[in-house]
Amino acid sequence: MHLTLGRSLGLFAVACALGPMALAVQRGGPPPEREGAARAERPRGAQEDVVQPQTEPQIAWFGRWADAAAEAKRTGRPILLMSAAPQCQAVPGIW
Amino acid sequence: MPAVVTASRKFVCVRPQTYEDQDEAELLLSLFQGRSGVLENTVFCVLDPDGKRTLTRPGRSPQMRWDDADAFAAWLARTFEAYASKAKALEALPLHEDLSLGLNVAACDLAPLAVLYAKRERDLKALVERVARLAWSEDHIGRQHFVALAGEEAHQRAKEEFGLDLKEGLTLVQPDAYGRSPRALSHGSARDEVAKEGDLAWSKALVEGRAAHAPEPKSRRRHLREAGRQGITWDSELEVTDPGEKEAGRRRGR
Repeated sequence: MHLTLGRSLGLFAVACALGPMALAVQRGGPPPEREGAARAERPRGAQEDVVQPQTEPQIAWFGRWADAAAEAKRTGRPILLMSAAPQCQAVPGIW
Repeated sequence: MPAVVTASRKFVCVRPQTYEDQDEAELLLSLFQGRSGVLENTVFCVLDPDGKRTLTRPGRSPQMRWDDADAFAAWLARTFEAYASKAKALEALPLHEDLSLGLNVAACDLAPLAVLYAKRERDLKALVERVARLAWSEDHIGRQHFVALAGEEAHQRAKEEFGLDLKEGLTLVQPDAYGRSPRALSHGSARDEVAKEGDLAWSKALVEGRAAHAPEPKSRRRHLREAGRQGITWDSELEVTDPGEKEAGRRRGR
């Protein structure tokens, strides 16, 4: 998959905003379902995926569906849902 | 601020942790099944306020539908218009299920975690309600995660498992890279709040704590390698069924 620079940057912005989005995609990598495999296959010395500390406000996520569903019902606001596992290959601290 | 973040402020945003809760896992699987037919690592969807009707086709991520962040943000803004006239302000504090998950997610985001603690449940409820007012203000929204704990057992567990000696009130902490060993950055006690007008004490604790928050950039490769060296693992509540994760785990010998 080839991505133009502009589109890559746009996807990168989405990735930063949503956190667990596929880092592979921003570099024109494989589709999300192959993320895990792609990480393992990345050749030695290839550019690393580096997550930088956030300097701007991020999306204010509820961590639990039940809380979010109740708040959506109360406020009449639609729900933006993006689930992710806070682990990679059973290692915590990374999406 | 990125356009997607601005647009998200009009929505109730939820990021369930995949494989950590059976009910949530069933919901996610009901929303999206890829070719594998199992719950995959990420699920994306926008739903109406009753949480039943999908407003966009669910998938693994917004990237499956929108070309870039601006297009996605524009769609969010347009979608909200239908709800704008009746929408009420967000008030509930966005919380994580427990300290372990809160620290892990905060570590993933390289963000600080605000730990609200009270000895009694009713005091915690009052604390959560008052901090919630701060949490949605422009000064504090989307700048830290939150978790709320009550009782002696929670206090002991925080101390024994994470080395965190909690005091009543709000403590902002910086998790280590793996979300296991938090460092206290600032504290606003419940007593401070009573003594001072408004929400100044807690607001100050959040601002000062964030100023002291200084996580290292995180390299995925080095993070995984170091975890292997130190034997650091995360046991999710449910089996990880994502085909890519399973394949990667097999390659690493997990």
